[in-house]
Amino acid sequence: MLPIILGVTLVVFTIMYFTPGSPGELLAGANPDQAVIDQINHELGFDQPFHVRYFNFLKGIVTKFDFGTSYTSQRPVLDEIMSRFPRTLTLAFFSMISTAVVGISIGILSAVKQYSLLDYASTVVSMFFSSMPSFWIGMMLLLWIAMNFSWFPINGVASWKGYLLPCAALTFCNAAPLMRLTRSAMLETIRSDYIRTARAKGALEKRVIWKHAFKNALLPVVTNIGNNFRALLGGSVITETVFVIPGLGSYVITAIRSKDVPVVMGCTLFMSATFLVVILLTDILYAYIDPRVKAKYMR
Amino acid sequence: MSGKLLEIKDLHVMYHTDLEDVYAVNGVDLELTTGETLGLVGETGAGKTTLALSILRLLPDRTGRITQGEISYNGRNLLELDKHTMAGIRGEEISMIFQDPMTALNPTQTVGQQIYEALMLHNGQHLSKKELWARVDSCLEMVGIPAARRKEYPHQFSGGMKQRVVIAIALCCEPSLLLADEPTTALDVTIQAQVLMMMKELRERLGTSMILITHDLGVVAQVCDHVGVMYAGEIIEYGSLEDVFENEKHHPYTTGLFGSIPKLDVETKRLSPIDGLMPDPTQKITGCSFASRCPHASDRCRREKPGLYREGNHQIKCFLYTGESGQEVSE
Repeated sequence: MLPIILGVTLVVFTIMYFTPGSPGELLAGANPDQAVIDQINHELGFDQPFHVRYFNFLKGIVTKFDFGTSYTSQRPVLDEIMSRFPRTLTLAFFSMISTAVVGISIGILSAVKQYSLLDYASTVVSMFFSSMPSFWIGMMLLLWIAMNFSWFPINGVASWKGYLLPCAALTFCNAAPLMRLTRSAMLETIRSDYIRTARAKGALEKRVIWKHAFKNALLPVVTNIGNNFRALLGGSVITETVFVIPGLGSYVITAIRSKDVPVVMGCTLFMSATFLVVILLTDILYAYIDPRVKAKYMR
Repeated sequence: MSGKLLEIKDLHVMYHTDLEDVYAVNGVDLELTTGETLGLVGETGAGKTTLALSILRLLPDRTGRITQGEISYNGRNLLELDKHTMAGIRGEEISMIFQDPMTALNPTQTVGQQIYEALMLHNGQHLSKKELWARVDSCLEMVGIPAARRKEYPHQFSGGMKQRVVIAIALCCEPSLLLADEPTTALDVTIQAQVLMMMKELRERLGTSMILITHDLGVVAQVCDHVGVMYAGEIIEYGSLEDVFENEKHHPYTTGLFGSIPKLDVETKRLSPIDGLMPDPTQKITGCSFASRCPHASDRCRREKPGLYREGNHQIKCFLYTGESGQEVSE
C-alpha cells in the first residue's frame, strides 16, 4: 500500500509542478508587481527546486504528520480536510451501499426472471442510466424534485436530507452497470453444473438461488463494488459541485484552480488512502466468500 | 424384486433454440424393474444424458422440452407432477450422479454442508441437526471418505474423491432409483474400478435400481443386468447382458460398436470403426436413423422406420430381423 501511495503523490506532485501559474500570481491581486509575486512565491517555498519541495512535503507528513498549510487560507491542510472529508466519505459510503442494494437485487431478479417483462424493463432503464453522466442526473433531480418539493434542500448538507438527492444521483448511474454485471454473473452461475446438482437434490428454486447461486455469483460483483468506490470518490467531486456540498471534492477543485499545492496533495493522499483501504476490505471479503481464495493465502 | 419401478413410453425430447431445433430423444420406450441395473450405451450425442435429465425433469429451462410421451415412476406420471412434489421426489426417490465431478459440487460450500442439505431437504423422520450430521458422517464413510473431512471444500479434494462426494449426495437419502450419468468417465482407470465396485456394493446393500449411462462397454459388462443401446435418440437394441453381448443377432450399430473395441484374444490388424457420423439431430429422420452408416441398408431402411423385433426379452429395431411385414415381430 505504501509504495502505491508514494507513487500517487509523486505523480500528482509532478503534474502540479508542470502546470503553469504560481500561487503568487493568484494571491498578489490585480496587476501585481513581479517582485511581489516572487516575494509571495518565496515565502511559500514555491521557488525551490522540484526535488526539494517534494522531499519537504514528505518529510512534513512522515515526521510531524503535517500536510502543510494552504496557500490561500493560511490554515493547516489537515484541519481543512478533516472538516470536509467526513461529508465526502458519508456520501460515497451511502451511495456505495444503496448502489449495491439496488444493483444486486434488481440484477438477480432480472436474471432469475430472464426474458420476462421485468427483465426487459430493467435492461432498458439501466441502459438509460448508465449512459447518463451523474452530474446531469443530479441537475435533473434538482430541477424536478428539489424545486418542486420544498422538503428536499436544494443545496448543502445541513441535515441528512441533503444527502438524499446526491446519493440518489450517484446510485442511479452506478447501480445500472452493476445490475448488468450481477445479471450476467447470475445467469452464468445458474447454468453451472453444481446448480443442477442442487436441483437434483430436490432443492426448490428459491433455495437454489439464495443458498447456491448467490454466493458464487457475488464474486465478480464484489470486486466491481470495490472498484466502484473509486468512481464514487471521483464522481463525488462533480456531484458535490452540483449539489454545493462542502466536501473534499469541491475543495480539491478550488485548490487545483488556485494552484494550492499542499491542499491538492493532501486531498489526493486522503482519497487514495481511503480507496486502498476499501480495496483491501474487498479482498478480505473475497476470501470470506470464496474458500479457494482463502486457501491461496492461508497456510 | 419384480414390479415396474420406471416405465417410459414413447418419449420425445427436443431442444428448441433461436437458431435451430434439436431432436435429442425420439421415441424411447423403457422399463425398469425394482433392483435392476440398466446400462445405456451409445456414442456422444445419442441422447443418453437428455433421457436421464428428462426423468428428473431437469432439462434446461427455456430450451429443453418434452414434446411427447410419458414417464411413470411407481405408477405416477412424473411429467404431470407439480414443482413441489417433483422436488420431493428428486434426491429422495430418484437421484442422479453427474458426469463431471469437477464442476458438480458447489465451490463455496463444504462437502459436509452439501450432503447435509440433501438430508435436510428430505428429512421425513424429523431428525435433529445432530442426528443429521451423524448421518452425513456415516454417508462420507460409506463412500470411503474420513468423516473428519466434511469441513473441507471441494477444491481440497481430488477428482476421484469429489466423485465419491457426488455419489454420497446421491445416495444419502437411499433413493430407489439412481441415474448415474457417466460416473466414471472423468476418472482414471484405477479410480474408475474403485468407484464402480463401491457403487455396486452400495446398490446391493440399499437395493437401489440404477440406470447407468456410459460409453464404456467394459463398465456395462461389469455391473449391468440389462443393456440398452442408444443411437440418435432411440433405443435401437435392448436386452439382457447376455443377449447384447453374446447373442448372434444384433443391430448393425451394436455390431459396429463392439467392432470399435480392441479384443486381445482375436488377432485383428485394425479396429473396425463405424464409418461416418451420427445423423444431424436438427433434422427429423424418416426411416432408420442408422441407414446412412449401415452396411446392410436398403432403400426401405431410408424410407420407413423399422419395427421392433423381439426374441424373448431381446429387442432389436432393424429390418434385418423384422422380415417383410415391417411390423413388430415376436418369436
